[in-house]
Amino acid sequence: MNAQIETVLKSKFGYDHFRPGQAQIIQGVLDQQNVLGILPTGSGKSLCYQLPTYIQGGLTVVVSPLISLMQDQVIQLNLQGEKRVISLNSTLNMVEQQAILSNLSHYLFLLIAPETLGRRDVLTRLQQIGVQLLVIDEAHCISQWGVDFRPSYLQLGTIRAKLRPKSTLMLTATATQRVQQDILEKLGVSATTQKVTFSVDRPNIFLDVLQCPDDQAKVAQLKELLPHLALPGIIYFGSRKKAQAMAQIIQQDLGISAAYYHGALATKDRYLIQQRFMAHQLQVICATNAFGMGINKKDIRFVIHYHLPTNFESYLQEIGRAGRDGQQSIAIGFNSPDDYQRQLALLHMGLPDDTMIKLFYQQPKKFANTGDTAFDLLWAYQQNGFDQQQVQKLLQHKLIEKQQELTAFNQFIQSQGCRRQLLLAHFGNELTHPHDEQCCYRGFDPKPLVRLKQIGLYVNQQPIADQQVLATQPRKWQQILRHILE
Amino acid sequence: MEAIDLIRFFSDQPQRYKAIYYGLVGKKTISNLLAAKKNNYLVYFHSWPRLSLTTFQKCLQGLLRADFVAAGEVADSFYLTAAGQHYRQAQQPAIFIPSYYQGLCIPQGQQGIELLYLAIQVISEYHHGQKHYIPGTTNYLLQQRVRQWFQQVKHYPQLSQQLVQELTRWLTALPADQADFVAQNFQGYQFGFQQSELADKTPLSGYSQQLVQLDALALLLQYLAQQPQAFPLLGQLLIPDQWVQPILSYSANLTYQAFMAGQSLKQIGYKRRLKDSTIREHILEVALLMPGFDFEQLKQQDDLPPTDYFNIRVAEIQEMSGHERPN
Ligand SMILES: [Zn+2]
Repeated sequence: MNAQIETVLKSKFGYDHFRPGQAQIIQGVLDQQNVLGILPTGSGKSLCYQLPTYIQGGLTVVVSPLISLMQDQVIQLNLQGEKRVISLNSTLNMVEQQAILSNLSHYLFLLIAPETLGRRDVLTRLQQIGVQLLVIDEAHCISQWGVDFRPSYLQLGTIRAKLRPKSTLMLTATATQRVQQDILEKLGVSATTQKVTFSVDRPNIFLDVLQCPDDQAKVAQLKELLPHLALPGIIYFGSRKKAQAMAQIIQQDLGISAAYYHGALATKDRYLIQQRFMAHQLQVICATNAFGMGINKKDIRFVIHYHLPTNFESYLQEIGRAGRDGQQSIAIGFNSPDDYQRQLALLHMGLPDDTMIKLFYQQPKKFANTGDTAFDLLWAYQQNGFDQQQVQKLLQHKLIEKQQELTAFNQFIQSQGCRRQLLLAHFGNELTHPHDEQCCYRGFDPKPLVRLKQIGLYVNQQPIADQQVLATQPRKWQQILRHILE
Repeated sequence: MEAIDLIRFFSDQPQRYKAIYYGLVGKKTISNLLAAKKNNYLVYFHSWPRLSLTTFQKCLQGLLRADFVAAGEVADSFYLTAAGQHYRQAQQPAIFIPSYYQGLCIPQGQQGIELLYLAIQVISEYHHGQKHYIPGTTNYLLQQRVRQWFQQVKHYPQLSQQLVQELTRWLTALPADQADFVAQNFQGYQFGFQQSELADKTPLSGYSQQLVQLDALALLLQYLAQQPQAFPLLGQLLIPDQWVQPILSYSANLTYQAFMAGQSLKQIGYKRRLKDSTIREHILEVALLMPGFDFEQLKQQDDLPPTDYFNIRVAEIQEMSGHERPN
């Protein structure tokens, strides 16, 4: 690894060392090879394309499936002091999009959805400028064998051929062998690609699960834990309402600065919360899964699942936000007997049923741009040449797969054995250290406070400093002007 | 959209609900303008450009369910019931009535506000040597505009002091509550309230909170036009000519000038090579929007039968202008 790379690592990102695998991917990109990186969330995926961009210059195009993911990336780069980043997506009107296209040469990073990237005007402009590095984020979306299949990703093979980037970096957190093969084939890069795979293990995150008879018990459990749990942390909820209510309880009853975060918040609020969380003004975020995809806060000490997700992938991704600084951290799941029904209901959300599919295929055009996830998915399938029967089959397959995942994940939750071993096994990894007291709790943990002491995350009393920062923000205009401009 | 945000536009006289919607989003047709004038919400034109018809209709259905409004005889028209009037009374503190804002003249008000706030944020962060922050708006064109402006002004001596002076001059002129609320919407170095935190502390509805800011912006634009020397920074950011437009459309104004010079509608149409119907549209717009319009002059020179659409409209407008009531 040459000195320049290390210098950029320090000056732009503030790190002394690479995380496992990062160096290999970056070197591959700099050698203008195609690379498929299979990295768990929280292992510094975005650094793998950001760093080479700073070294080789030129435009890096990052394809991302969701607008929220793109926005998170923009935020993350902004917070690193990078302004030469722009996201081109459907929330912008045509005038704005044209303005961006004509100024494109001033940017280093372009975040874009596959649909937008496939547009002729966009392609033409990118061909004029030349693309140094093409990054396919969430690359597993291209495989119809995966649960996250996005039909629009299928166009990326053709698009890539037209763009002719110097190198292509495919990134994904999770992909089975079959999906990996599919990614390479669909993008037409099979022969030349270097594969870099890492273990999903995060040994500094203790895995804990508590049994709570009902919702009331969960609230009580949270109230008992939080005053003694090292901060900051994230608590995940299955519903916006609950996240909102608990944020208030934590703030008022426990005196810990907390905010709620979900997809229905205004953009300004989302930014403010992320910024405050980064600046240590907020200690606890009560979030739905809309939170955190691009958030790069390194010192998160705990992730609590007030409601557990429905599969290993989400679980790994969410707990992976803890302990990115390598320090001891903990993931605590709350399990209650009622949860299974809620999880089952979640499986069907966003998936069209047979009646919807039939209705849709009678007159597809009527259902363009409804804003409904299920119909949008059907539209995407139809646009990519799938007929009714194929879609029905695919979706049935998808549902079965989701059910199997839930079953497997529930075995993990209910397990009396080493949970880390189960988690790793699911992703095809093996335990590197035998289970010990720092690994996980086998069964349901009856005394979580003891556990906190054991792993060094117990605090006697939460510090009061900083918690009042927000309460003391001025409200009179004269004070505000003084505060922000003097 | 909260109930009060719609109720405020209804009265005991039935009115077509869609005209209210089109007024708020700023669809400028004669019939929408007429309805707005008749029902006293002309100043609110353009004040809610991103309101969706679905949201609006849902709100209306809520009012119907609560019996706050009832259907009038004309299709799609509604009036305020006694219960609705009572509710409006009780919710008075949630309503803000602007003093300076005239939506027809500031059609892009929301963007003006966003632009101003972003500029303040940029200076604030710059003043504190902070490069790592998230801009308060994602709007690309506004970001570009502020970037360009910042390049122009960044070497101004005592930049942030100068901005404080300009903002002070503006905010002092507003009622204290309004000035405080506007400033609370600023974002800057280690400062910013979430929407919910702002809402908790004010009795105003969400829409009224927008109006408070639009109204303040209107005053600022007025100052920028009248005393540019006092606003060297903000005057370059919000160039009044770009943000404020005359209440009459350009073409209607030409017609009006010719009309006042004594030309007949036919002559004007001939000279301007426009259809008679277009000229009449212009005259209706003028009659609606210009307070001193001379109806007598129009009647003397027009030769249409009194049952014609145009004459009925003119009569309607004249009738309204006879007894203007303040909102
Ligand atoms: Zn274990």
